[in-house]
Amino acid sequence: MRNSLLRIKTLTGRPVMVEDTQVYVRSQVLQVRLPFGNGGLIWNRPVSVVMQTPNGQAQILSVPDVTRTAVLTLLVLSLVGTLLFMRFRRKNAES
Amino acid sequence: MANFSTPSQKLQDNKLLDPNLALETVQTTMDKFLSAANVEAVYGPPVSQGETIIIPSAEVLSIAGFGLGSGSGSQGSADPEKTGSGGGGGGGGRVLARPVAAIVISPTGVRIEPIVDVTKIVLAVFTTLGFMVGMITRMKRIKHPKLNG
Repeated sequence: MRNSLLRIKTLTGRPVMVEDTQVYVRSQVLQVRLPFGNGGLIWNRPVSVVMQTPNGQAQILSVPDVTRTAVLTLLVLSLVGTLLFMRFRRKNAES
Repeated sequence: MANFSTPSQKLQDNKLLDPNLALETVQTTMDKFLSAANVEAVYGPPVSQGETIIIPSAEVLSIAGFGLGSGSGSQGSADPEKTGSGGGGGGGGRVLARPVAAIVISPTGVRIEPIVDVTKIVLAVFTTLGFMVGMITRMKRIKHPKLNG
């Protein structure tokens, strides 16, 4: 945080034991430091869950953010829809 | 002029002027701000329900900023009684959190149950529709010149 203006890192939490399997949670942190003054931004979000069996096999489950995906999809659809409408209208005006 | 300040007010005033206290406040604020960069900030403590363990998870956004300044001046004379100095500082910040998913660990396996914020999605739908209707209405008003050669 002190040296670089932007830093992304993945953090792993303490394991949770379920019978023989160890379950780890992982999060991704984006740290942005202001170039002037003091302060900044920290964005921390869950990314995945890692299950490790005693024989060494690891299974990674990603944590989906359905709300963010839906909002971003709507944003992209609205932009694409508006661009298509603009193109369609320009073609009609030319003909 | 009579001095109406009580001893407790004087003590409070002295506390406010104490630079160590100001630094301590800044340090505490920065510590709280930096605590958002931990795994514990995103994943809650596991909750056991019978043989099932549930770990709640959330997205955390923390924004903070502060500044300190000081200065001194004199009225053009070297008289130490006519010189002065002062300092000040200020800052602010905000922490936003939103639930993302719940991790359900049961003897049958681990599954992730997403938490859907319907209000946010409905608001996004209305905002998108408003944007599209606005853009289309504006475009319809603009008359394109016909290119007849």
